[in-house]
Amino acid sequence: MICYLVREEACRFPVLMPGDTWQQADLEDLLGGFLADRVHAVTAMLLAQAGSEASMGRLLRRSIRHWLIDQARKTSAGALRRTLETVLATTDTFGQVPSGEAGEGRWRLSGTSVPPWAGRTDDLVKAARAVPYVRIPRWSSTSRRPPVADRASIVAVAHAVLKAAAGSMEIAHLAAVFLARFPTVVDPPVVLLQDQHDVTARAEELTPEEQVIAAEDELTAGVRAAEVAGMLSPVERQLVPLLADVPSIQEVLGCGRSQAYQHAKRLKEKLEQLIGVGEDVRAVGLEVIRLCGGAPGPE
Amino acid sequence: MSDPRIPQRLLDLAKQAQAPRELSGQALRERSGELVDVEIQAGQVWRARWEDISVLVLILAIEGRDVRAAPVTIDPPADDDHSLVLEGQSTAFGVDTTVWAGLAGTVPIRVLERPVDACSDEVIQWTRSASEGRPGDVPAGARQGHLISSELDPAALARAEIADDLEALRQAPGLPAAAPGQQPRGLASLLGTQLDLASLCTALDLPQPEVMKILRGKAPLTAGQIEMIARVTGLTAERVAASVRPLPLGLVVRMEHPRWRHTWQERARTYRVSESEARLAGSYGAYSLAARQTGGGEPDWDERLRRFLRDEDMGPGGA
Repeated sequence: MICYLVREEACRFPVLMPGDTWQQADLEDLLGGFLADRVHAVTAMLLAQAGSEASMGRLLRRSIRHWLIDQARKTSAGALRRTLETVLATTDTFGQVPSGEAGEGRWRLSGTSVPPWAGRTDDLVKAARAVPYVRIPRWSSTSRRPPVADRASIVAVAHAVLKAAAGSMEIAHLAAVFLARFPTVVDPPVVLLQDQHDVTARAEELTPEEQVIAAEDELTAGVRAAEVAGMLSPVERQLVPLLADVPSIQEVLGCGRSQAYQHAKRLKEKLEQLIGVGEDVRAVGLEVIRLCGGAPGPE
Repeated sequence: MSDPRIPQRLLDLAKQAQAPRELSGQALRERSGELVDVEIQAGQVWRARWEDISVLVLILAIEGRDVRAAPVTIDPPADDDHSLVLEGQSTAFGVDTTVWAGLAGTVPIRVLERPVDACSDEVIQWTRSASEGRPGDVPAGARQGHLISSELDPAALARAEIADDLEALRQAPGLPAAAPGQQPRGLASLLGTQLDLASLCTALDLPQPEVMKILRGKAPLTAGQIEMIARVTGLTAERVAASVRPLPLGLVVRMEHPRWRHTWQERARTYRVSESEARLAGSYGAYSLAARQTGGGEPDWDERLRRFLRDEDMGPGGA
């Protein structure tokens, strides 16, 4: 019965049982954790308090749910949710739907009376990503989790999301959007690789921060490549796209096969010296080839 | 047999769960006596249950058909600044237990099921005082709970769930009790000369003695019976329903005492009805039986019920 209830209740906590990577071992870990933590108290509680099978099931389910809440709050997603709760509860921009109205307890923009949101999460993630100037504070602590963003940025993103939703949202929905917008706050998942399964760690789409970093990398590589290309002679620039094509080099230089090999070898060594070593060596090399009029190949 | 899909390490963990000896049936009987003899007293911790909702409550006072009580929880571990957390060794539960003084209120006696523990006078006194907003010194073997700083705290959820459960227990259906001076007119009085006993017996498909109880207002009516009587007699359904006499308060108090709960639960299982229906039928049975008694003073309702149950068991359909 405990196993059944843990499985059922854990489904309410995607952060503990993510749908795409969940495995039987995760359920066993949760069950083991619950038993190790609460078995004595829960046994005493059921003996004293449960007067029927129905009440026992209800009490056990509640104990499991509260334990799972504690576990979820310990995760990075739980921390994000608590941060969101605090920001929403202490900012006049947001308010909770009062009792008696549809969507009671959900969050919405203050002064609105929108219905409960029931749209696509992807649309809200796009709205979250469109918020400019999101600031992520510097963080040096090794014992505390880094903040997802500064308070003003969280408010701005939450405002954009609720505005795009045009409806009231559960805190869990908002947290899910924030997790998609700020994936770096999520704890690295432990995933057991299985032969028959393709495991996708996360979406391939770059976050705004990753897009900025990628753009900067691209710019740096471009500048470096231009510098390298400028140090080549016109003939060398003509040969760069042909380095793997000895007959073409023969044709350009009007020389024999062995001389063409020698030219190609010297040019490669020169390029290696000019480009140097580093993480961006491949990107710079490809850009040099492009600047010299060639189409970058796979390598 | 255990589920073979469950790993052995989990089964081993589950086996570590040792039931506190103080909660065994024998230990409970030794502490509180047999349930039929038990009396409700301040300081007792009772299991209060109605259908699938159950709450432990510390009795603070007895107030007519209700007790004033504070909820007690063992799991999940939660508390607030109006609560007292008792250490495991000071209770029968063997683990930390929270007494929620801030949630103290009335609980109907009809939902009390069995006593499971008792608290010291110091704990009772602290809980009474704290429930009135003036907690005293924390008793030995206990600590005061922590302030819940946010409604988003899991302890706030636990507290809200307890409050909801208590409210649900308060809504458990009780027996209809006569108010002082209340004299409803029986169906026989309402019908007067238009009474047609034979047609009523036929319409209700009941023997004459049962119909006579209905005419005197001393038998509960189902919704179907009310509708049928209204159709046969021409009275409105509201007037027919109001013709059932409420039960004397003395009888109600006795029938709602936890000593009879096991009986009602057994009869509910036997007759495939709800516990409240079994109690209603049994209580009216005792009521109509008592009407044949003579002499002044409050009847011995418990004895009347025992006689009713004995007679019924010996009669057709009895166990």
